Formats: sequence, structure tokens, C-alpha cells
Amino acid sequence: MSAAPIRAALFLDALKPRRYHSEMTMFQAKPRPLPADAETVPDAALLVAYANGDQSAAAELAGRLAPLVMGQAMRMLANRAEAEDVTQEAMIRLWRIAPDWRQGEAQVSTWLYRVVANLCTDRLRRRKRTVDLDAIAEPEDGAPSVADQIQTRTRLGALSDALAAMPDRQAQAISLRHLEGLGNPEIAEIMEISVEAVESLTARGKRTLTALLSGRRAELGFEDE
Amino acid sequence: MNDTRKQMTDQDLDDVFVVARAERPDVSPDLMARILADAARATADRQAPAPMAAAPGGFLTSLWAALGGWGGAGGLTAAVAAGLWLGIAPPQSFDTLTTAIFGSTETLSLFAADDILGTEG
Repeated sequence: MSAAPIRAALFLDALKPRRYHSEMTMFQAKPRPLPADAETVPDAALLVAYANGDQSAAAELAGRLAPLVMGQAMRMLANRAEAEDVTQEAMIRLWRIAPDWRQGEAQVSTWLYRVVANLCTDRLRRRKRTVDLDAIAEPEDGAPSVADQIQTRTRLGALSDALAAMPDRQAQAISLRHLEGLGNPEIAEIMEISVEAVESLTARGKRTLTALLSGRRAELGFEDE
Repeated sequence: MNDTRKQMTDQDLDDVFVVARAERPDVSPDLMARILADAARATADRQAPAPMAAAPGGFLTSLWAALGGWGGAGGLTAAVAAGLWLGIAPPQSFDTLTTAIFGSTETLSLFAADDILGTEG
């Protein structure tokens, strides 16, 4: 082959439209759907997928985390409507922080425990201004024994009222240790304090709780021995 | 009944904690729908174009702003008019003032006007 046809071929090749455009649009593709075994994907990875626009990742996260948030809120507040409000608010905060979430820095669950504890103590603080533990009527002597379910509600309500009457940090430590069953190192991370400070808060919190609930011992179904 | 019997024991407190830990409320479909709607709304908010700042008005608008708007431009106009007036018709006292500060100007000719080359000695 002589040089002239080769030059012509090269010239024609240079005129061909390149594929750069289609290669660039690759980065604007829609997010990939979640894998079939989405339940094995870590929370943080789902949060990043949601931040990239994947609503199915949000659905998976909500399915995992909303029951945990609802449980924590319900155990602290003993009020379904308030617990639902806190759950919705905590999840909104999660959706908003998603684009700025830095993987590896903290667990999503740890972050949520902190947010829910703060939201609940905010509500308990407002309740503290309206609830006077001493003003709650004691049950009348000789009242018939209540059903177990009612007693459960009474105990949960009394616990929540006592948490409202306690200092905020003690209430949070007691809630995370004894209601959520977390270990002191995890509580320390959630509350951003030392493990020793957690131990001190929970010990003082138990003493405060004992003092607050003692006046309602009979109401809570604890019979005199 | 004495005070000791009214006191909550550690066992009593643990019983209360057990009741609380057993609380496992369900998330209602309505709440879940609200949560997912919030997620979709947050995504839409992020993807919406940011609201435009004040529309750029071009060179004249930025010049007007740099001058300080009506107030700045008014002061500048007054200063220009005053300077022009002083240049065209300086008051007599101005000459006295400049003479007092800079002195009067005297002209000294080193050469006779008709002997530029200095040949006349």
C-alpha cells in the first residue's frame, strides 16, 4: 500500500465522531438498583446510595432503622404520638445529613441513638414544666388490682415521667444503658464523653430514679413485703 | 408501713427496666409513608437548582453600585461642579492664598532675547 491511501485513511478516521460524549454520560447514569441481598449492605453504604438519588436505599434504611428509633423514643417518652413525631424528625435529619455523611467516621446507628436521645430529652424537658410528680394522684387504698397491661402502661408512664424529672444527661445515660441495653463504651461514643463519665452518670441516674419512683412504688404494683 | 418498705429496691427498678425493654412498638404504615415521602422531598430539594441571586445588571449597574448609588453619585457630581467652577473663575482670595503658600513667580532671563548664542559678550 502506498503512502497516499494511508494518509487518506488516517484523515478520514480523524473525521469520525469520537465516543467521548457517550463515555462522559456514563457518570450521569441513574443509580444502580440495590442488589437482591440488600439486607447485607451496611447502613452507611445505603445512606450514600440514597444521597446519590436511590430511593430504594431510603426504603431499605427506613425499614431497618425506623423501628429502632421508634422503640427508643417510645421507651423514653411512653407516648405513641410523641414517639412517632420523634421518629419522623430523626429520619428527616438522617435524610438531610446523607450527602455529607463520611463513611467510617461513625456508625449510622450511633448517630441516630444520639439524635433520638436529644430529641426525647427536649420533649421530656418541656414535659418537666407541666408534670409535677408529687401532684400525681396516688391510687386509693383497697383499689382492685389492675390488669397486667395497665400495670405495664403505668410503669412505662412513671419511668418516662421520672426521666423527665431527672437531669438531661442522667436520663440519657439511664435510657441508653438500661432501656436500650448498650455497653458503656458505645454509650460513651454516643454521648461523646468518657467511659468513666458514663459510669458516673448511670450510677447517679439510678439513685435519682430510685428516689423519684419510690413515692409511686405501690402504684407501680410493688407490694410491701 | 415504714419508709424502708416504700423505697424502690434495685430489683423493683430492674423490673421496670425489663418492662421498658420489652416495649417493641411497630411502625405504622402511615408513619413509614411519611418517612419515605420526607426522603423523596429531601432528594428533590437537593436536586432543585439553587435560587438565582440578584440578576446581574451589567457594567453600568455595577458602576452605579461602586459609586455608592444616588448618595455617592450626588456627592461626586457636586465635587466635580465645584472643581470646575474654581478652575474657570477662581476667586481673588484664591490667588492671595496661593501666593502666600507658594510665593510669587518671577521670570529671569539669562540671555538677551536677541542674543541666543551669547556672541555679544
